[in-house]
Amino acid sequence: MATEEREPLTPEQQFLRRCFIDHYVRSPPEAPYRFTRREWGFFPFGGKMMFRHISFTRKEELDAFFRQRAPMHAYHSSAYYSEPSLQPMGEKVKTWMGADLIFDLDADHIPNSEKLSYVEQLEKVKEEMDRLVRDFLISDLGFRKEGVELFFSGGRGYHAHIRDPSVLPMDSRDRRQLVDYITGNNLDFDVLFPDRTVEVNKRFGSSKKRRNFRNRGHGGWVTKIYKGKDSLLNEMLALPDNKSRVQKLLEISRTKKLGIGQQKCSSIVEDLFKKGGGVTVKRMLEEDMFQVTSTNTIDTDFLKFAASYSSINLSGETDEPVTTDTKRLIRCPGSLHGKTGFRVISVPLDRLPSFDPLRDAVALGRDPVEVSLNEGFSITMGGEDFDLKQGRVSVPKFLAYFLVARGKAKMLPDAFLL
Amino acid sequence: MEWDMNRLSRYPFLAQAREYVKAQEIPLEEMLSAKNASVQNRALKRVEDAVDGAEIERDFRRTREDNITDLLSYPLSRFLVASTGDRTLAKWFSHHEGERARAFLSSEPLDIVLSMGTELGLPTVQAPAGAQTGPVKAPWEVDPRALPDRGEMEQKELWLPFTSFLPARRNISGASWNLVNLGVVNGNLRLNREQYTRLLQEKVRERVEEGLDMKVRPPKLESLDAMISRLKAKVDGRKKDYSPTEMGKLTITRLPPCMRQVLGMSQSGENLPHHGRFALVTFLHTAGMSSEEIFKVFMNAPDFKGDIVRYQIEHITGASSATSYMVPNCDTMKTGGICYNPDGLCEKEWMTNPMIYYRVKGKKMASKREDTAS
Repeated sequence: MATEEREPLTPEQQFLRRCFIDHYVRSPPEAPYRFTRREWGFFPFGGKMMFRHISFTRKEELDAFFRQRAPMHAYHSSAYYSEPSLQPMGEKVKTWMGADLIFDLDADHIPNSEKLSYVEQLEKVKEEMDRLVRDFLISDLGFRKEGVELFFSGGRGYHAHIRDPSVLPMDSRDRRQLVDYITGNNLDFDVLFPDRTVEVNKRFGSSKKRRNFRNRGHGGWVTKIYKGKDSLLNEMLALPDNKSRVQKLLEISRTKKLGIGQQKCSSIVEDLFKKGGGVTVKRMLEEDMFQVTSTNTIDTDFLKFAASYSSINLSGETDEPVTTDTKRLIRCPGSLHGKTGFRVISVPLDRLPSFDPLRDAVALGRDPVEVSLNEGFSITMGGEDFDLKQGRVSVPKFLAYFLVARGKAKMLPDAFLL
Repeated sequence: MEWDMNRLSRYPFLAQAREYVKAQEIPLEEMLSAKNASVQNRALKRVEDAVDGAEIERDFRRTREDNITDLLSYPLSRFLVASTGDRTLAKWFSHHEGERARAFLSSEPLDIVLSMGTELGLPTVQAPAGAQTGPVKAPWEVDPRALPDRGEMEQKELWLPFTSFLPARRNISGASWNLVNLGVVNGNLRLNREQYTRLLQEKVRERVEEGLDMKVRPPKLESLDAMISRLKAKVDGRKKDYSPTEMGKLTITRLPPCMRQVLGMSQSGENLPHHGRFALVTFLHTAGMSSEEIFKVFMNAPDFKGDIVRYQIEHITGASSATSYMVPNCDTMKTGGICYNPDGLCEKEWMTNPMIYYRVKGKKMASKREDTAS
């Protein structure tokens, strides 16, 4: 392993590292499934780069590593290798034996997340993960509930790990297909609802074509678009006038980045509500159809709106292909996240709704620590409400870590004698 | 599954066919003797048809003699392909055999198709509970009986676990093959018979190609030498007709490893994934190659269809459409699974696009030349 070249740690970094050492001495992370076949990577406190291509053959080595090095961030590969520590990567890939299937949801990728507080972001991502697991992984893709393991990432997101033998050999093209399926990327309405001939005029040799809307139970995105149609139409009906309906569509178009403009939105609303009282819309709901008259044309934009109700925003759709990269390192379950001090903790699906990371992932204990707070700060953490004023404060260690790691507080010159 | 000789001869890659040939106990020398001239001719034609990309002849009614000749010719044709040691020919050949199998399968009763699928490792499953089928509700819907009859078999829905579907579809492109556009229920997806046989074609291709890269030591026989050199000449002919004599303004040594790989795949007749094809065209175009030069690069593809390729190139390069596409970024290449063998230069932080690699490499090489000149 490469030697760590480090500049001397600042008092803050020393405090953070000390917290991790104390924690790992008592409770090192559990070894993940087949840990000897995985590549490990670590980011040290005060470090500039990640050390990777590391492997362990015994649990004791792993424990000792965490105790002694107390890394700021700890990762292992989703892949299994016969020679996990081999460098360069090109050689190691030849020893690739398969990889877990990983889905990563992060607050970064929730629309408008920058406007939300940390707590609100976490709540949003949690809802999204619940939907990903229930609607996509279990209901559509047929994974067993017990086969999907969920983790709070320690930061601003959740991970789903699947180790089913049938997914291990999938290559990145196969995984890309799954990502597209979940994000609704590359949806093609002409394939989902292909044209079919509904009328043949023998005299003129012409024919009339219309989309085949299949049926609600068709499965996949056809079923999702049926459900989306219901949600969309019901929301439209609840609004008082066409003007607010157009506004609603424009809002969806913006947040879901559909790129559908004012004019299109107006024409959709006009189509749907040209008969007073929403007769068309009511029939579309009651008779479960998209087209209720042969003249009414449902265009692709309406389908885009309906589909937008189901898609999931995966982390790194474009920049960090967590799911499709079969050689990627993922955050090690049971380790601590360097930017929060929270534990990467397993969350059973049934407990997800009531899971509160700020209570349930707290790991660093309650010993009081004095820090200097840059500005006032309020948060509920570890089951306690804090309303802190700027300046010298005494807080439990888990909160001191959180504040210092996020640059909201500094160590006091005289307090660093833990 | 126990099939009669006529049916079996359509699918010579099956275990039962192999058993049959084995049971005849004909040594290679005898197979290559004048006595078996018809088998040799048939074997040769099999390979030559593959090189030519010839139409599949579907002769359903044949004599027992024909069937036996057909069955025996398959292993001999494989032997011939392997003897040339030409990887491209192996690709062409396996592709053609796959197409042949599909052509026959399209006319078989469904139970034959299904048992074939099982033998090829792509068994269908029961329709999942909760999956709904049935007619579309629409007031103006005409009676389906009034529509052109597409046969009862085609209407039947087949179900496949997505985990066996995905690897089988890897080399097939087009929106209708993307999981996102398919009816997925509870881990399985809905296919029609046509789609299913297209997947079986891929499975056949894989099976036929297996082992064709093995080194064989052909016995010294005049008749055999003649056949092999005849094939080699034919293969060289197609390659010469089609392969670019020069890459125009392109400097091969400056190519990033991904493009080198993709280019190599297309020139050795491997079926390129769609992303790869797209990336290569944009890259070659940006590097200054003409549409005609790019066209020639793709002529070796096993499923080469001139018109379609020309259309695609002109679309991507902007000759026939309003947009001309940019070379995909490295991130996109990675996501698409076509970032092959990244080297030191690729690992640089600022290396975000294959085109940057090409330009930087060009500068590096130029400065190296200057170094040595001074």
